[in-house]
Amino acid sequence: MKLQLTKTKTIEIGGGRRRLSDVVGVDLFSGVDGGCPAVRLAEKKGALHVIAAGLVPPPANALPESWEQASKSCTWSLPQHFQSPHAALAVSSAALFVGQTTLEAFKADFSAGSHRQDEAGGGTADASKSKRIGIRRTNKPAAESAPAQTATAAQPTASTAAIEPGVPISNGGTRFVMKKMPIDGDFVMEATIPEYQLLWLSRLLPEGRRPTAASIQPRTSALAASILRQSAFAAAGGNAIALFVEDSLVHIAGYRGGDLVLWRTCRGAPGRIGIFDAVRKGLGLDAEMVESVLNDALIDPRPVLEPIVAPIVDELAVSRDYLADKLRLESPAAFVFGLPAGAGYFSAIAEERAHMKLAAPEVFDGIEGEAPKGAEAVTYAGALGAALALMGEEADA
Amino acid sequence: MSAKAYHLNLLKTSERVSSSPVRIRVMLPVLAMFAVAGAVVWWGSLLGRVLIARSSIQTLQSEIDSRKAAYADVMEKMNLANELESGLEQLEYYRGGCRSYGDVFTALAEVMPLKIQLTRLEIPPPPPQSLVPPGVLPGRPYIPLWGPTGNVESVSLVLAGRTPKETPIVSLMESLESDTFTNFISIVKDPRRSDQSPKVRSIRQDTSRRGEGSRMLAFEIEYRLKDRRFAK
Repeated sequence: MKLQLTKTKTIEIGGGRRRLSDVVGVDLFSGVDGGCPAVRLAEKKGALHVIAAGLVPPPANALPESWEQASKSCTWSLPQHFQSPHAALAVSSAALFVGQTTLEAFKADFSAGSHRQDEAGGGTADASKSKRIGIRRTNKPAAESAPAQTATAAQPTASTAAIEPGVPISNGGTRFVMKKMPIDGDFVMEATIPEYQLLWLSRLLPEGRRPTAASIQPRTSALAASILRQSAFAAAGGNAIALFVEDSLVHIAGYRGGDLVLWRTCRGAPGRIGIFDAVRKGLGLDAEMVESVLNDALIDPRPVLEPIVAPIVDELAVSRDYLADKLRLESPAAFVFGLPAGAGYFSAIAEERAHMKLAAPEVFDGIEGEAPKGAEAVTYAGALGAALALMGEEADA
Repeated sequence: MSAKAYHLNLLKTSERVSSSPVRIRVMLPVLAMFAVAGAVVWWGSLLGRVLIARSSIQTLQSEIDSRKAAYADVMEKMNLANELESGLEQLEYYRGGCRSYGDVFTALAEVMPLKIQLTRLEIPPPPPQSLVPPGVLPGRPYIPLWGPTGNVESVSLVLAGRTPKETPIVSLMESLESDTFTNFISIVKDPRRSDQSPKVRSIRQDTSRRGEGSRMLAFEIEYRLKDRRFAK
């Protein structure tokens, strides 16, 4: 049992964490119209149930982009049916970075006290510091944007000796966390976020009211966890390669025995919005018609889709070969997630070019209860993944 | 399946807060204050009671001191009263133990045969009572008791006299066994018993050659009288 004695001091009684059986996952600032996707999951008799799923009104303020904005804290409350004791927040931010890297590179970044922006955030490439895999990076010290009074605190001062897997640590105005991947070599999954954004998010759900934040994680990593309960994934023994299509990014993830062993972001891939835009422009359609065209077989969109999807499929094939060669992961199950329509064309192109069939299972597959289905469910993947990641973590702790 | 690799939780443990409306960091000082207040009240009431008890002790002490002389006087008088009462009681015992032998002697004069000349009529002092503590085996050393513990005293009557022949003695003994003396003299004829009565101490020929009583039988008979009881 955790007892919070003061704002900063917490003691733990009884040793060890208790399993979280009732968690709400919320996807914050993911750009979904109408609110923030939220999924409340509860474990009953060993099975996961969806208690509630829907869009909740977003916080009154947007995610701060500077220390000045962060000082204006805002509190937020969820509708009653989402008020579980614990919340897992999946956050989307241009200033947030997630990626697979090496421990050496992580330590170098940590020592510099800098955070790296995701590819969506733009920036100049700098690959000179360390070895990393398919990630374009930007050095943007947070001290630049920190207010004068916090300039001292923003200086990189912490030692790399303090770095522990899974334990968040602050340095130079940036919050770092990394976890080792269960493969040979010093590969780690790393996430960084500006300290002001993290502090603002940590105060979003106030103490004494349901829910309170037990986890703040990047939406991208939450997506990687959304696959965990898929029955096809379980049937494959947790050996899989998956394509996660976000609004503006496409990620490839490799799993071995249920553990994440590969994570890369496809360079130059346009993401769901770019793909749908290309279809709309190529076929001269209205925006509303794109999904129905991709679902129907009346018009063949492949001539428009192929130039965009082919490089993604090629990169997927490279990743599959990497898994087979380096990690001896032969013929893993292949999935594509994040597409409300057109998954069939992705699979067809992948089959043609790389002899891979891409399955596109329901997002809530393997979870009981009434949950959104089809295209609508795609928007809840981040929220579901955040909740699953937190519940899975607490179960393993 | 492990979710560790995907769960990149940026929130520190110290930043996690409880959703419970009962906040320990608020409740703990409040409860502590209540506990302290309760302890203070309890100690206060205890102190008050101690002070009251002390003052009442002082009052009682002074009262006791003021009554000490009167108390000593009362105690002295009570001791005196007890002493007098015990003396009175002792006297009562003695009164209970009084025996009048006038009637015996009157009756004895009437049954005394003419041929008997009484030379001595004696009620000897009682034999000393045993001062051996109860339970002491014979021959073993013991610390004697400070005084007799029994309130019964055996009394005997010794008749000594002279007679020319045996017959008057027998006649006298028969007379003494009659109903007239039942209330005074105990008759136990079993010679094996220690309280045998009458017990002929002696009967012999008077060997003096001269004098009035020459050639007569001298006798001495002891009768056991009823016990003298020192009781109310």
